Amino acid sequence: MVSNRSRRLFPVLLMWGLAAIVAFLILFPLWWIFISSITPAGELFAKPLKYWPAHPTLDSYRFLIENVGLLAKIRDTLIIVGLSILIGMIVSVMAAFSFSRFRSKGLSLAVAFLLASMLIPDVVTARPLYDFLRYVHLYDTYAGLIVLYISGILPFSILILQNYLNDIPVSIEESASIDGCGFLQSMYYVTLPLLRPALATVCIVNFITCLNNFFTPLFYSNGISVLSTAITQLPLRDNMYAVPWDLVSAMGWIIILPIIVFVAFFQRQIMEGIMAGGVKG
Amino acid sequence: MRKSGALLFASALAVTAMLAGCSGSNGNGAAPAGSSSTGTSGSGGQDEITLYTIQSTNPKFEEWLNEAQEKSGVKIKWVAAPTDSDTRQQKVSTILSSGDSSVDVLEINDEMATSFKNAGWLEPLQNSVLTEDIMKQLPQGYMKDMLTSTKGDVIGVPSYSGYLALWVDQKKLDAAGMTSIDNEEDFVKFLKASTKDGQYGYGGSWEKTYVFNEIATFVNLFGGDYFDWTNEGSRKAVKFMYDMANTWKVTPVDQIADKYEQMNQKFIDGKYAMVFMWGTGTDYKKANRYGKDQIHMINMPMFAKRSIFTDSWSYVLNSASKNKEAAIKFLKYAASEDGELNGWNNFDRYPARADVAASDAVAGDIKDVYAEIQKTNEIHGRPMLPQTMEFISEMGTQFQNYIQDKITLDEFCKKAQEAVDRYK
Repeated sequence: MVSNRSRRLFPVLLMWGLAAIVAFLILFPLWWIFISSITPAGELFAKPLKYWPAHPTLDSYRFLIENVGLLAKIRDTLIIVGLSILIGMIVSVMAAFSFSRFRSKGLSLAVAFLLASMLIPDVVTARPLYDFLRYVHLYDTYAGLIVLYISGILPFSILILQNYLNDIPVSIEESASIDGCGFLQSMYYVTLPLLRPALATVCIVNFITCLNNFFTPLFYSNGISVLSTAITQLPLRDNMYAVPWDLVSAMGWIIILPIIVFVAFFQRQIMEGIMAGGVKG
Repeated sequence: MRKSGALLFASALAVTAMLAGCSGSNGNGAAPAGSSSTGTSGSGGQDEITLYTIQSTNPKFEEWLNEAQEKSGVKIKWVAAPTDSDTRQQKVSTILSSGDSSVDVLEINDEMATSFKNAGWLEPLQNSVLTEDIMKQLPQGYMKDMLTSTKGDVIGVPSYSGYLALWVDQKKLDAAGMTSIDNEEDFVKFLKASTKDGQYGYGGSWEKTYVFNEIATFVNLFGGDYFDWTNEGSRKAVKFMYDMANTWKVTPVDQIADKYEQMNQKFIDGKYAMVFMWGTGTDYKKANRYGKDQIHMINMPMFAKRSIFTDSWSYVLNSASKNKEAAIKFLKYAASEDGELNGWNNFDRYPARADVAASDAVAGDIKDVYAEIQKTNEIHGRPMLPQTMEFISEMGTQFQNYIQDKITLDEFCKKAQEAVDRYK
């Protein structure tokens, strides 16, 4: 009897034990970044290690707001990420619909080209793109950055949406057509509502991708600064060589917090959408 | 549904309008991060430059900027440069190498000066800005080592002078019954006397990309040459560092993981009796450990000679700039007494010009020791090669191997020489 209960209990304990270890590995660094952000600079490297600062302070956050232009960076981030997702979604849906519903060699080539573009590292195209953006006066502009952000999220979005669309029977659209719907009406009234779960997933993933994008704003802008690159613009200490870890931690926390919140709230949709769009078809 | 369609259409229109409004905002497509609202313009709005600066997040930047604009007569737009060194070097390389004219004047450090001074991307300043009378007042060794190209062009105006100076904990010096550290003998005596109870006579930041500062400092003190590892002085220097860590055990080997942040904290906590450090002691002041009776800077001791490294951030003029006249006007201001004092008053940056440093406007206890250093030491820029970070890292790695007894002194010197030859 006891041995039976033990046998049943063991997998549960193992599962919870592993979950606790994984949670610790993920949460402890976040906790450490947080307490570093509220620890005065002079106490950061004090020994023995403290898991809660002796004199907690919000000075680092205050400094970021007053001197690093945090609010302007949040504004720029919202403008760029918001518009990129909005425009990116419109383009992705139209492209995915075309790739899913129409067949031609050109379209197949376009899909292959789009997917292949995902394999090219950013740094390979950086310099020619930098020169091109300067040439067309899009360097260090919202428009230039938004175009680049969109080009970054399109392949993934189209891939997911196209796979999802492939699973929606064409007969539904044909029925709508028989009932008198035009092409756009059928897409708007019939297809889009069915795409809603995939759209939600793509939006969420793109939001996280855009928020995390470091290379694009770093390389293609000077004056426009978003949250992801703000960490490179913190003041050096007196000797010009020491890293201000208190400020780095505060900025790091500000950058990762929205992502954590987003993933925490939408993790089910993210997984479901990716599974649906990625596996089927 | 019609309402939703209208909303979508309106959104699309708004986006289009916004994007149209955002592009090419500055004629050349650049949108600087900021520009002073109080700036004056020297000639009817014509004198305007864009400054690529690392100081924009300094709380006193606005004050510095206002004064710079007022006294130079140049309106200064600014762009925040990354303060992270790798990112900054990559950005500045891209700007300069691509002929980007959106930035006129840039602030660069020693590493960047070494990489860029022979590339032809920076405008020579010896005829327009750094006239003979100003050049005379600047640290000659530094100007030659760091800011002069192989063609003889001087490419930068140093904005301050910092020393990698010796800082001691006076309480430990008193406890050792010593009053000063004048020479190698005193140095070693103090090292040994202050090493006890888990505390060490010397603290270093021997992380592989930091330790070259200390190696080069000892090499100079022993009369060696960082680029010549057959030189007896160079060998003596690293052997001395090895002895500190392994023979006399007056400094911990585990500091090979330490950068300045960790070293400074340990120094403040009383774990070390002396360190080599840049700056004017702000960290020690913040920790209430600064002062003649606590942690303070002293002159370099005499080994084979007295020698010290200086560093700076220098203003340089982008060759592709379309506002060279205005930029030169600003650079003249930066090199002037007013410009140097502006940096001292707002950023605590000690003036690079000897005459300005000697003036009454510069006061404070740091002044005496700086003056003594200037009078008694050979002052050099640090030994850097064009592929700066690779060279620094390679030397650091080999030094760490030597300190950990993975290679012998002879092997270290051989590998160090190979690194010099490879990167030179």
